[in-house]
Amino acid sequence: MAENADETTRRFTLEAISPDQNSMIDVLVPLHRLQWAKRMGLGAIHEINTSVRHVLRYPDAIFCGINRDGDDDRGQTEGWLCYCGAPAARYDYQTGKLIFRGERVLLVYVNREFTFYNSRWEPESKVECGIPLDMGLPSDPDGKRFKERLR
Amino acid sequence: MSQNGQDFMTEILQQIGGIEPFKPMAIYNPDGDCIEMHLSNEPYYARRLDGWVTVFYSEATDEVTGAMLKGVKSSLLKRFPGLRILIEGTQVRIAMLLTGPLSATEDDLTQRTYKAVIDKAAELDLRAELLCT
Repeated sequence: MAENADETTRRFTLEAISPDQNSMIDVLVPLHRLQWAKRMGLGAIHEINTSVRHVLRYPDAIFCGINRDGDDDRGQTEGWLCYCGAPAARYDYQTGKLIFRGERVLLVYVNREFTFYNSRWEPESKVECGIPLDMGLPSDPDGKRFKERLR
Repeated sequence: MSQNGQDFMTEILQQIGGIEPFKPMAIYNPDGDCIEMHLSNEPYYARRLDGWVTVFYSEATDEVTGAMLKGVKSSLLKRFPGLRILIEGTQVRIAMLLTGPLSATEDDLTQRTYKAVIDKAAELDLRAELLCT
């Protein structure tokens, strides 16, 4: 683990549905992610606290194994997870206010040590007449992004 | 145990000591082995460019507002070992680092997107600290 909780550092976790979907697990929110949020704005902290928390608990999809182009890193992202979901709204990082989600889904990335390391909003999978055909899934035109869908 | 939302928010703000005014930044994320670059904190969406890079675009203007470079230590610096010489101490210029995967790209549109990201990173001379913190 990159950052270790010492006596003065609180350990922050969020509850997530386990990859086998039989139980709930605690996912660590590392200090560097909080430092990122501190620099991005109040909305980034609200996002971790509310939107990321929601997607980890109630994902529309969970993918396992993240594909990259490198030939030499096939094992590096084995067991890494991507939780996908569509919270009702998102936060403006600058103001901390809720804004329209639009045709976006939130992807929450968790490594094999169950550390949350990144989240981001991406275009939703195919949308026709403003209605998503596959709710909560990101666009993946070539189908190469993930190794396996768990949910 | 996981904290509830209100406790979490209060404790985080105590831990990090409040919010900082935004400045363009590039941060190495050791748990994801990636570098995140942000030129702005306006609302953005992310679009995967290729296996190495995801680009962030403004929701309002579709302009590039940042990017994420993935597999930095585990993959990128092994696949493009020449990039190691660009690391100055523990810091690396993002614009230089992006030239590695750009050099392996044949698609014209992808190359143009790389150039847009590289130009933005170079303009601000954004650097990331590769040592774990």
